[in-house]
Amino acid sequence: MTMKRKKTIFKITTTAAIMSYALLSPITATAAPGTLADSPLFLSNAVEPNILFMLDDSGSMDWGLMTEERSGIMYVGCSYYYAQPAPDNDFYWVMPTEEALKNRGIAAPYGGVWRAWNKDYNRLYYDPQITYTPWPGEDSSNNLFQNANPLAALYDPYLPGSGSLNLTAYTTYSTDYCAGGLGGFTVNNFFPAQYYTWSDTDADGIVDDSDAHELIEIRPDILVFSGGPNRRDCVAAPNCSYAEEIRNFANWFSYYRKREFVAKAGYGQVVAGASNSRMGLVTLHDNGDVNTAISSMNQSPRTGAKKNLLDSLYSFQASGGTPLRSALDNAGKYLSCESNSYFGSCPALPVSQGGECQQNFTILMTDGFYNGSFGGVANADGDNNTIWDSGSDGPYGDTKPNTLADIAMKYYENDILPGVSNNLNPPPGGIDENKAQHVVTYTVAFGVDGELTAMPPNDTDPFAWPITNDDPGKIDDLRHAAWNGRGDFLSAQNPVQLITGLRGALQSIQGRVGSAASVAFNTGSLSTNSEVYLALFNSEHWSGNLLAYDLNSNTGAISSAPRWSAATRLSSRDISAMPRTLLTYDGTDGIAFQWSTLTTEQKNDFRTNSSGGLDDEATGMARHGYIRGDRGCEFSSLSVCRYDDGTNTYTAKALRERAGRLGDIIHSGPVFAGAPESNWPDVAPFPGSVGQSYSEYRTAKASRPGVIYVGGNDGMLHGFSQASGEEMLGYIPNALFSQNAYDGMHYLSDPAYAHRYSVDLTVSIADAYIKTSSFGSTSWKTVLVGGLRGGGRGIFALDITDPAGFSELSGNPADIVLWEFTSTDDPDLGYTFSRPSIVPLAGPSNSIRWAAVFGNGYNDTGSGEAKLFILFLEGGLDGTWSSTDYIEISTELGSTTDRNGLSSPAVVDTDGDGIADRVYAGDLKGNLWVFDLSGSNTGQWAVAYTQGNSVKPLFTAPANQQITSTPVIVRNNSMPTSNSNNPNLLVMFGTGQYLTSGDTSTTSMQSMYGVWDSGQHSVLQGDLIEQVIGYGTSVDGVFGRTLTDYFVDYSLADGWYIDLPDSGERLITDPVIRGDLVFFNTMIPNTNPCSFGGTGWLMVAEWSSGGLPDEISFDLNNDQLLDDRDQIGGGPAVGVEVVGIPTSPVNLGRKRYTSTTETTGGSSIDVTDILDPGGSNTGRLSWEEITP
Amino acid sequence: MRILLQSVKTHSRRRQKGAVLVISLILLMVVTLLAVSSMRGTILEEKMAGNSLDRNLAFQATESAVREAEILIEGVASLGSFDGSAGMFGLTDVEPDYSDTATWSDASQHVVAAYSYGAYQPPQYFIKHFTTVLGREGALNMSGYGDNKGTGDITVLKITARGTGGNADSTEVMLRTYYGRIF
Repeated sequence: MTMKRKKTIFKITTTAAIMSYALLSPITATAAPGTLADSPLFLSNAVEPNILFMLDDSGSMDWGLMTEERSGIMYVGCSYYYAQPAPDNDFYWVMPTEEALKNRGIAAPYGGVWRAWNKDYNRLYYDPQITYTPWPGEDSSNNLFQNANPLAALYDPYLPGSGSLNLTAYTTYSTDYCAGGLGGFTVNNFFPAQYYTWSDTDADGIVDDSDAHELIEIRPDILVFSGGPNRRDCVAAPNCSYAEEIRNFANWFSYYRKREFVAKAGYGQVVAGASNSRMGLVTLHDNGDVNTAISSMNQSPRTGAKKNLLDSLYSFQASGGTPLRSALDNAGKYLSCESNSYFGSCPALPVSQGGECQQNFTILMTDGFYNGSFGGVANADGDNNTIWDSGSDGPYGDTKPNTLADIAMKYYENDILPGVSNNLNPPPGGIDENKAQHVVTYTVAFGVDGELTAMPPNDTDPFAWPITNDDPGKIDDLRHAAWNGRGDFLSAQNPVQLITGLRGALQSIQGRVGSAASVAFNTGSLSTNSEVYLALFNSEHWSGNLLAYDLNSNTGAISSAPRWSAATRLSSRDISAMPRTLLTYDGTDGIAFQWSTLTTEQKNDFRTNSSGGLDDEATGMARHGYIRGDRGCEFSSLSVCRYDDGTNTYTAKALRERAGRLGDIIHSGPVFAGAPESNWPDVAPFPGSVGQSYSEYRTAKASRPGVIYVGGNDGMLHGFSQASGEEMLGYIPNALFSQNAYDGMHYLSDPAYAHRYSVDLTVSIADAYIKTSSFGSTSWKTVLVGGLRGGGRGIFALDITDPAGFSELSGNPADIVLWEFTSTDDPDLGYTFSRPSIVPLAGPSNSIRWAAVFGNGYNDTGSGEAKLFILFLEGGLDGTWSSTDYIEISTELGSTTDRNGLSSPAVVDTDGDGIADRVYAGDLKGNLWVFDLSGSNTGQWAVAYTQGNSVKPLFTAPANQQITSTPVIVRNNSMPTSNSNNPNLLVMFGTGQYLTSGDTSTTSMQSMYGVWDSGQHSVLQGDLIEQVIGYGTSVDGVFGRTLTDYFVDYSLADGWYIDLPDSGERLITDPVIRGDLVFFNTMIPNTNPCSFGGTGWLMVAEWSSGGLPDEISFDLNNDQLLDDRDQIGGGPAVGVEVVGIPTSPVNLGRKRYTSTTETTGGSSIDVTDILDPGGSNTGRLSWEEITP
Repeated sequence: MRILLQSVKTHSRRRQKGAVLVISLILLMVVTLLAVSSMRGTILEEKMAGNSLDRNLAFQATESAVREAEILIEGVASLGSFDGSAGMFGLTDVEPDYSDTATWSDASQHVVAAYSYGAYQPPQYFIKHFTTVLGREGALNMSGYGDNKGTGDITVLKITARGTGGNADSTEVMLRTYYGRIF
């Protein structure tokens, strides 16, 4: 009794709290739909992998030599460890020079000491072909690492007080020479900035002491240094100037001189560029207390956990032995959450955060020559106790116990978290196939091979792993460990290869690839040249791609390999030889996207830094260059980064790391524009005279080169050539520029970047008979109108009539860019989620006014009412939007405290004269509005239905049913059109919202509707016939859906609806009509962190009744036949579930192509046979007998 | 001798009084004529029946070839294979002359049907992409480039088929149908 009472009181308190919160909180009160998501909602729960970096901090890592001799050092009587003098070197261990030995009476070849300064013998030494860059991040004084100063190159760049060496002046150092019995002596006149080139005199491929060699000293009197094609820091590469060469050498000296420095540079580059992952660092001895437990990485290397990890990495000092095996075992124990390892904590994420599918990686970097005793894992790789190892004869096993390879196998083959369900999804196609929690091991050595030089050729045949105990055997064991751990052995010959290898390793770890935009075709029907275009995003670094695949003209199958990849083409493009054509808008006209032509506001955007302050112009130029595709100033760039505004220079390499030049493409579907596709008539009011008719335009442009237009979230709309995949045009809307922190174009280059949308709406393209400049003449043009969707409140229009003429040259940008319309022009314009339709509208005296028609979108800054915008294409040409340039029709529903928004409209020509006269669009309150634009008097364009003085919607859905997709309209052929039911149209649409983070967990019932527009308004769900979805299994065991087939009598009912029965199921993509059928794809967001995205149902119904189709409508069991096996419960199946959130269905021929968030390439697009539309004029049309 | 001669004479004349033989012969002739003429009719009828069967065979074989062509049209996903070779002709290809015997002997000008149904040789056909007509009204949404209204233009194909009867020099039948399909 007491308990119950208490409970009641608690309930009341909670309710009261919620009520008061609702009343007080301004966010709850003003926001419908609420804060729009800035990144794809289906990605928000991607599970971050654990990556444990293991560093060998033994004494040998301090050495400055890496050769093929024992322990990687050099022996000339005694052991040498360094090529450059430094105070932290041990006294006698620096290699003496030839000149010093000659002066001491030693005879040539002086033990070949010159080889210490030759990069082919001492693999750590300065290689003039490589560009050496400072470590990413900050030193111990919190200053970004800068290029080293040749006059005072720091011994340890992390410690500014560590002392420095003037590399351009002679210096002295003390050393020893054992062979000649000289004892300790001083080397005078050592010039630090030096290296040796050599030639293989005896042609044995080995750098011998007696091979011919030449000393190169980097001195100012030498004008040209031979660098190489990869020396992108040299303006005249492959040749470098003295200043460039000495800077590169100084960077080598400070940042890459020793084994541990190379390790710091490599790991540093990987950590600095990482995101969406959890990383930690362990060392063998924890010298300097640097071991760092695994934690989630933020973006910026200058703050938070990432800075903490980088500080630990940069501050470790090498000393002590190399007990590598016990350390690797400890790493495995740590990732297995065993208590007796490095940290007391457990790095695994709890199940609620995705522990069931979290990946674990150990990356071990060592010079390889381990020692110390170890036991306890036996011969784990050769005992054949799981399916992941083998017998002792390989390919995984050997006869030797307790090796690194055995440890790697132990933590790969055993479930390291036995209490957690095994739901790991290793990347498909890889060698890692274990679904239980396990550790993948990567190993990195310094460019020295053991007996083996390659991995085994396959994972099935026996392989004899070397089992020697010597130094080469230990290197082989490192390779073996990577093989057993299903990672990779990165035998980095030089720092560049090391960094590339490590980044490659991590790139295979991270990032989800998927597609959230429908595919597009270059043809309306399947033919020999049919292609399909697929847009993809990769959440790691937010890169994207557009792929073109050939379609088999007989089967409709998608070819296995893409014909081109736009990302590859763009990333490999030489943008100095073949500059990109990038345009923007200055407020009145189009301009080239060049620093010199940008407006002050646009320049100030680029100059804005992450705290909102204004940086110098050189920094702005660097950020602008970044958007143009220069990757030199990215974190781990190995090429030149230099921007000069005349006063300041920018060389910092502090811009965000990208995977390529092309950013992610998410909701913007590709649209193909080749030959004109519109179907405008040649009769009045359309131009019909010779030279002006549309049919002539069609003929004239019939062989126009195809371009695929797609919006990217890299700040621009892209146009890619159909022929080659090369980018032909990029347009950066002026509406995207902003001088606020975390916004605008500058934010794209900010290392702390978290995803923002930019040009995310699918463009609309149509032909229109318009002027394209205020003073121009009227002619047929192909017009593109695009929007930003979640990227901002703006709409833009381009003239894409002549793709061959795209250029930045004077006049061209102004010709191509028509106008922009933003919330500055009208605050009632919200985020432009509404896809425009380009249509002809009736004008005065039988003329046509061409217009873009769209809803006002969501979260406007004006009245909050859902509004329809009608922008006349010629209206914005003068750069201003006056009241006659556009029409705005309000639904009068919504307010500043509860904002509504109008979604994408369907514009309809009811009488078939080619002129638009009716518009249907839904809003966030579940109303389906009709707008009547039929007359030529724009003053009479209004909401079609009124009651008294108030406007009324055609239909209002029950509460919490938002309409966010485009309706599809058909003539209701169940009823003859009459004056009493005019216009007699059937309006089909789905409900549901997937815009804000809260939407992922909503479970309100959503529906698919077919509402009859018969001149009656304010239809409710109760006026419709409900068709009910059922479930069943086909004879082949395919689970699917069925549907009732109730008769819809339109004399009694106003249409039909179908409730979507799965919890959270909704319809946010556009339905598609085909024959008697309507195809629609629903989605169900997944709240389980181990499932990427969600699922969905590919649905079909007969549109006249919303019920069961008469015939088998799609190939349920995927046998390429529409037959009885596609039935469920004796009737045609109407739905099949797919993994991943499906996009809108796209039909070509008898195939339905559906991409989902699980689509990673052409082969993963769902291709299903569907029913032919049939109808009159199909089948056998006539029969006759003929006589020859 | 005379007597003998006379008597023989007299005897023969006198004795030969009946017409049995003559009548018999005449009857025989009539019966023969009747038999022959009735045989001719039967043979003619047999010939007529045979020709009719042959013609029917040819007709049915041709009709089956037409059906086969229609199944072929329904089976392909596109007109990619209608390239003017192997009896399938695209919109711009020149259609062969059905009255030219070369059309039916040149393998590139026709398709040989899979089933002959008792005919001496399997029937043949060729298909020509004739024209494309507007399909039924789909969605009324005014669309731009790349938007699928779900209508689908109807491709009209002309099928010309030829079949023969049961032997080498027998009759031939040619049929022509038009067939519409949405690709």
